[in-house]
Amino acid sequence: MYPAKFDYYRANSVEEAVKLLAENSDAKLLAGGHSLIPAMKLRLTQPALLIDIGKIDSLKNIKANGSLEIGALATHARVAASADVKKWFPALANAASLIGDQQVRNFGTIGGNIAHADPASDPPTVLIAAGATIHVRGASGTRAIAAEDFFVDLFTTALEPGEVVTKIEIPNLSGRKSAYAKMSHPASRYAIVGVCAVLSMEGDTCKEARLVVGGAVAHATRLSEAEAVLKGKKLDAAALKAAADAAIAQVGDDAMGDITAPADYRRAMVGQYLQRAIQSALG
Amino acid sequence: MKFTGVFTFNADQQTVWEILMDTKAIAQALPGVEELIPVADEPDTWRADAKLGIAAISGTYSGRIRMSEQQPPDKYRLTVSGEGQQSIINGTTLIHLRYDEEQKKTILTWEAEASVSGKLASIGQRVISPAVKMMSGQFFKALDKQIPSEKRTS
Repeated sequence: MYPAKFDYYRANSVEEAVKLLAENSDAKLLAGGHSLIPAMKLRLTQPALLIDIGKIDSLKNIKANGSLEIGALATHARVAASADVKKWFPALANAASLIGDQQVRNFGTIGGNIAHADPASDPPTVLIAAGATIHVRGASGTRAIAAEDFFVDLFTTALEPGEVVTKIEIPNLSGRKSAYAKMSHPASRYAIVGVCAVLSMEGDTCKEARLVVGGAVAHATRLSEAEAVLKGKKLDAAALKAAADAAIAQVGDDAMGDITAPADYRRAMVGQYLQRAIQSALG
Repeated sequence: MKFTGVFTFNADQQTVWEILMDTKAIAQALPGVEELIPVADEPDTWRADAKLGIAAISGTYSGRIRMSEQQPPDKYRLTVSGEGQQSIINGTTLIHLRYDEEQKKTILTWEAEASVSGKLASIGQRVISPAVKMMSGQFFKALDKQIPSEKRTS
């Protein structure tokens, strides 16, 4: 289907995009377009103006220097293939490689992905687990938002109208073990359940665990009950089972359900994939 | 599809009941609605056009609501039908109020049964239940905000 009529403007800088957003209340930013354009073609959204930021090269860099900085317009394919990402936070490279199909990964961007905040998407889950910071710019300047506070609800973020995501910053995770475990929808590859584990270990003992679930709930969420269960414990089968039970209890009635995966099934899979993520992180 | 939810008001039960019955307050709690227009010859029935949705996926729905089975100040039924976004929505929800003496809060529980057909049903199925949860929470919060401070219990 064809989208409703809209105007198109290509912004050549972040400043220009911010200015255009401030001047046009019914405008949407176009990055990779792999969530926005399908919604427009279904006419579920009908913005009057698209501001194309896809050609702003300064937003495409990935660089590691004290922290890992990923420009908002880095495509999933580039995040997945980046030597820096693989070295700093392999769980993110892995999660990016599992998004959609090759065409989607070649166009879809990490900034567009998080601004859209689809509950079944992968990057939000791993970015929260990493303790990432989202940098944004609006008419009144820049601000930094912790990933954990960025994803507010279903398709809802802490972005104010007129703000543009500029980069994602991932702290130094050296010495941590991390992994992302995902059950994909067989057709769309959206996450039915995705769990990311970032573990800080001392021998066999877990000093600190950051565990995050996506796909099964309205927005990526820290599994704080399971994190508490694992703190200071040896990560044996009993500890993993206890963490899985705590995670299932925390998800509770918040589990989403649909024709592919009913809520009780997803809830049970949160426990399974939590254990898989931890096992895979431990290697 | 069945949905349930709970919302807690910091006010006594009579105050909460009055705000729930106040069509001006309801109109104000619905985005894009200026007033609820009574439907002629049908008691306790109103129509309105509301702008509903989440983030970019929002649209204008034209719908009607009817209140029935009122047992002040404990329970009533709200029946909603609407059309928009190339979809048709029908739902009925039973709303119960209970006052918690200890916490001085009124607890509202709702149980709804709804059917959605059209575009929203075919492509939005995986997010309908969290969307209902989110929007109903926003609606009750917007009602709660209209309770004057002198009537609040905390």
